[in-house]
Amino acid sequence: MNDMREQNTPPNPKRLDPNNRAPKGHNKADITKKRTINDNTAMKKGTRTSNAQDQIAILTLGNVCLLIVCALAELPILTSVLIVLTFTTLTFIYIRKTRPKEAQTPQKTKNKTAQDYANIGEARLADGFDEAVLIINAQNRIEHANPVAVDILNVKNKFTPVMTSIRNPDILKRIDSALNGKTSEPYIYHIETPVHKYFKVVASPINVEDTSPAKRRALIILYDITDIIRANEMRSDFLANASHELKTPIASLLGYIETLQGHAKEDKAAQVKFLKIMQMQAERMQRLIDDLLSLRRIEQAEHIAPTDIVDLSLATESAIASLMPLAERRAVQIKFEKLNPNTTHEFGFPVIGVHDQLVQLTLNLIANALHISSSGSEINIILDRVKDWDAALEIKRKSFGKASIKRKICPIETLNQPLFRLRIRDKGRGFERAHIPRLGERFYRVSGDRENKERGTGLGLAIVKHITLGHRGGLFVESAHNIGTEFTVLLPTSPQKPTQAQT
Amino acid sequence: MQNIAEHIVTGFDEELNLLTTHMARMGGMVEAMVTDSINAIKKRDSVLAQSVIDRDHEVNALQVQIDEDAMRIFALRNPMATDLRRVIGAIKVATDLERIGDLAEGIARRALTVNNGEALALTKGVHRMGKLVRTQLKSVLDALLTDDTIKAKQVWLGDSDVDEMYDSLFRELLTFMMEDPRTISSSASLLFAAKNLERIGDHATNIAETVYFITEGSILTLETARDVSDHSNDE
Repeated sequence: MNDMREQNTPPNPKRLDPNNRAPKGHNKADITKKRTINDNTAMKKGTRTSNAQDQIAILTLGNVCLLIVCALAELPILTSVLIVLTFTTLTFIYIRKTRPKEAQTPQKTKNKTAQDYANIGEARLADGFDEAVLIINAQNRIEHANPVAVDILNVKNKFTPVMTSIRNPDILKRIDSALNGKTSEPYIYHIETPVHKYFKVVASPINVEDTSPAKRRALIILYDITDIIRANEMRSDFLANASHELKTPIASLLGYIETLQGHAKEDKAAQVKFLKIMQMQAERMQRLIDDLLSLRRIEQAEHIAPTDIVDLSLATESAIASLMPLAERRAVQIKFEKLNPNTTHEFGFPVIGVHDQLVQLTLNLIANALHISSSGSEINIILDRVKDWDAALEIKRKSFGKASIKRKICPIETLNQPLFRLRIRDKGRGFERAHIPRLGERFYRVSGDRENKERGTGLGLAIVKHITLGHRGGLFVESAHNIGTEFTVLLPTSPQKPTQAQT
Repeated sequence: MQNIAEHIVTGFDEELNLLTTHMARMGGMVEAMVTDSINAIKKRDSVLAQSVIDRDHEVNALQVQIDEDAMRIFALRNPMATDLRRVIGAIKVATDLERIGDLAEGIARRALTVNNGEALALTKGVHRMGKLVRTQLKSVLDALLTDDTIKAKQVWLGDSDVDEMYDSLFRELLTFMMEDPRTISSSASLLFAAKNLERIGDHATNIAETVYFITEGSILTLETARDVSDHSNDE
């Protein structure tokens, strides 16, 4: 093919500089059919432009020759000018007649060169991929990002430097070497926030070897391997957590069994007492395993944003309903207040999410509030819609006055749409300052909280946190010692109606 | 498309762009150093710690580079308004990033000491704090490279979380040292590591202020942070 090109195309200094000439014996696998087509169009174009240039050269040469002949023949100036003009006109008419058709309408097609067609082809090819694909040019700018890449890497504009989206020095190194024509080992790229994601990044050159440095480009593909890595990680986490947390209750169970078999063998009163404790321990172990399993389920699906549209107020109501018996036993009143200033949303509080998870989220928060409320007090749940949410205002807004401390447990990422805000406020004893930074941490239980230590698994808030993260929401806590605690959940609103009616 | 963009981009744009590029590279390096230094403590990986120490000079070189870029733009282009703030911002950010690099190097040196001693359960606390600080650093760099003042503000306000966590970790480590004097040397090293993390958080806050300054042209204070959208919120 290269030989053909060199034979058919007259030498043209503009198009075929030595650097641009295709390599003699390239047998690289990455030269696809597409590229062959590009070369063909490039060839045609080369022939056309060089024809026009040849004609201009002939014209000038002919004119100069005529002038010299006229000068030699000592003709009067007027005559020689006339001869030259006639020659020029005739040649022009000839050129116009012999010129190929497409050359007569140059302005419209000129905007797109063969290279542009190649680029569009590459872009379409990239768009067809399920994985994130980027095409980077020699100036390290993003020439094309397919929709997946735009989403993952938050690419704002075309031709922005790739570093504004990927800063990782190891990946940048690979891009550099790909632009120098080298393919390097794949790299495992770990994105930590807002949710853990893992990608295998491969950077490879998309040029024939001797393309000039300024024209070189690189292809970056990010393969999503989150599922595989997270599954492995979580399995080991689960084992470590389960074995560590179950060790204590099992040891104490064994202790009681030993006592029952030993010197409490005949002591009826002690037996009743011990069996009751043993039952509590076993129940706690059961809760712990349930919590660990649901935490694992939530974490496993965390990197995939939910797609269902569900109603947040319905989820809250069903959580309240299932906690009613406990609330009545403890003589705690639960008040649920729905404020929706936007009347166009007659269908309530639609969010993109998973109904069961939202129930679990509200259930955990309300149950927490119940446990720390003293009998006779009340729990206020307020659900409203915030149009222009602002982090500063959220931190500033305090329900318990100056003495309270407010912090975010997870920050919110989606700020371009209105949010629903669910506040769960109790009048319990609140958290001490030292504990607040650690809320939401797995297995963190507030020390000195005897009753909770017996009951809680230390996973409730961790579950809340991960559900919020999975829903791309935010979670804040405010607490004042001996006054109360308020948890605020922020979830992005969904523009559509709920897809299914929940019960 | 490609051809058009190449022609539109002027030399000045190219230079400003180079400044952003260098900042991004430097930010990426520093981010990786912070992550690796914390992982070196968590995984007791002294090789990783050493690699962090070895990388510090690259960050310093980039700071010099950014300063030179900025100086050339000042001398040749006479930048105005946003461009002017962008160049000044780049110098400020580079200084903060360079300091963060030094602090990460410091953590890596502490990691070498900690890893020589016995394994401590408390490294978990440092790791947890490291995660928070890393999130702050990542968010602020994202904000810087996409001119996102809302994100910058979130980082700015989030610094109190870092401080609270440092206080809580400090108390925890003190209790630990009082209980078991044999762990004092390791605990003290962890304390320094935590202090460095706290200061990295402060530098992230500085960068957030710079991001705000570049885009808004005014200084980010508690008052401006609150006033910006006071009228648009329903509270």
